[in-house]
Amino acid sequence: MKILVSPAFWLTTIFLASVYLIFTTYLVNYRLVRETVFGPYPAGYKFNLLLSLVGGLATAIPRLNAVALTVIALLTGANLTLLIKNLLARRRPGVYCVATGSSIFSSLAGICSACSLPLLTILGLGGSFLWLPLGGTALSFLVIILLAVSLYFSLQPVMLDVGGEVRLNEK
Amino acid sequence: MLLGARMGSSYPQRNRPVEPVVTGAASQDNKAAASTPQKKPQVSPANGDKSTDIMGKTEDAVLGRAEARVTITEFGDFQCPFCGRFFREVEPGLRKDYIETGKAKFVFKHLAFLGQESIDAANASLCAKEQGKFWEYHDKLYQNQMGENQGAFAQPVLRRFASELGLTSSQFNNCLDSQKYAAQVQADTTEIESQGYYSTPTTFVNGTVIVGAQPYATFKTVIDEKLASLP
Repeated sequence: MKILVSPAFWLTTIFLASVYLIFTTYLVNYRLVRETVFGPYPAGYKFNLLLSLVGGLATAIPRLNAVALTVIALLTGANLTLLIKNLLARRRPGVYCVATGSSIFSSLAGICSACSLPLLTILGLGGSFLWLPLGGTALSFLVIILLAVSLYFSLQPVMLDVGGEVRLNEK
Repeated sequence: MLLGARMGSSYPQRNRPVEPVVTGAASQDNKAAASTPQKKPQVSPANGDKSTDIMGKTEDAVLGRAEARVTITEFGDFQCPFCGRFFREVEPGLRKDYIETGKAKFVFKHLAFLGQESIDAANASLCAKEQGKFWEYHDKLYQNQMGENQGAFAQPVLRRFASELGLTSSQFNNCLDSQKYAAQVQADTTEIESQGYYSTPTTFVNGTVIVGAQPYATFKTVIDEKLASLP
């Protein structure tokens, strides 16, 4: 738990959370972003457009969803930070499976919720969210719970492969 | 979105002063211009409410010069709070910087998916268009948003709006009661959904799609690029 007061932990978490937020923002207009990034446009245009789209976080998302998205981004950043830390510190094949699986799940859960609407649309279920509680916002709250649980377990001592047997690391 | 952009939260309604409307409508608008201060319409004689743009059809509502080479097409729902935000925060800039200067024209099409009042409001707007008052009615609807299917766009309210704008009541009421433009509203909705977009506002700028109530800077960047790339 000492890691929670580590500046490196928070810097990494905030960086990853920012990347997550920007990615989610761009996902709403992924066709525009793709066309812009890979299109024959001046660099200035590309930069200005991508920068302006970030402002959509404030204008194109309801406040409640924006707050939930920010919390999800921070929890995802924290989960990924701990994943990276654990993978670097415990170079055991068995550990990779345990740590990676839970973190990928939680990250995907976060992505799936935050951008659930585009994903639902791609799956042809674009209208389905209308019948979800709070119009789909409940998905965000569910993901926050999942990520918080994942974070709790990520903060616990990881398993170690000791002499071919996976044990809890008591250190 | 999408259906996202639908987000059901309510937002503080900021009263936007009714700005002079530059309209491509026909002569009926000139009667209204006599009673309310308006900018002189900048239209070509053949414009009216017609569009020959690739994104528009002759029955679409068009604001600005028909010959403008950049077309901004918004698919919106009159009950959608984000369309309301687009109306309050983006449209004024678009009108001032591009439409009134003749650089672009603005087309409004319907993606009425938030319930019966959305469909009724869309129908009503086209009934107003019959009498050359589409944009006034469009502005009136967005200025009076109040939740979804809570009565803000109930039929009596829609009739009252028409009366306040000086529309011929009998013609408007007949149009509304007969759901005269239901097919056109549905056609607009089908058109946008067939392209894989299900949210409002979705805006096309000469084929480039911007989803959601993005900041004005996003629209400005795209429009300026389109203008710069024109031969």
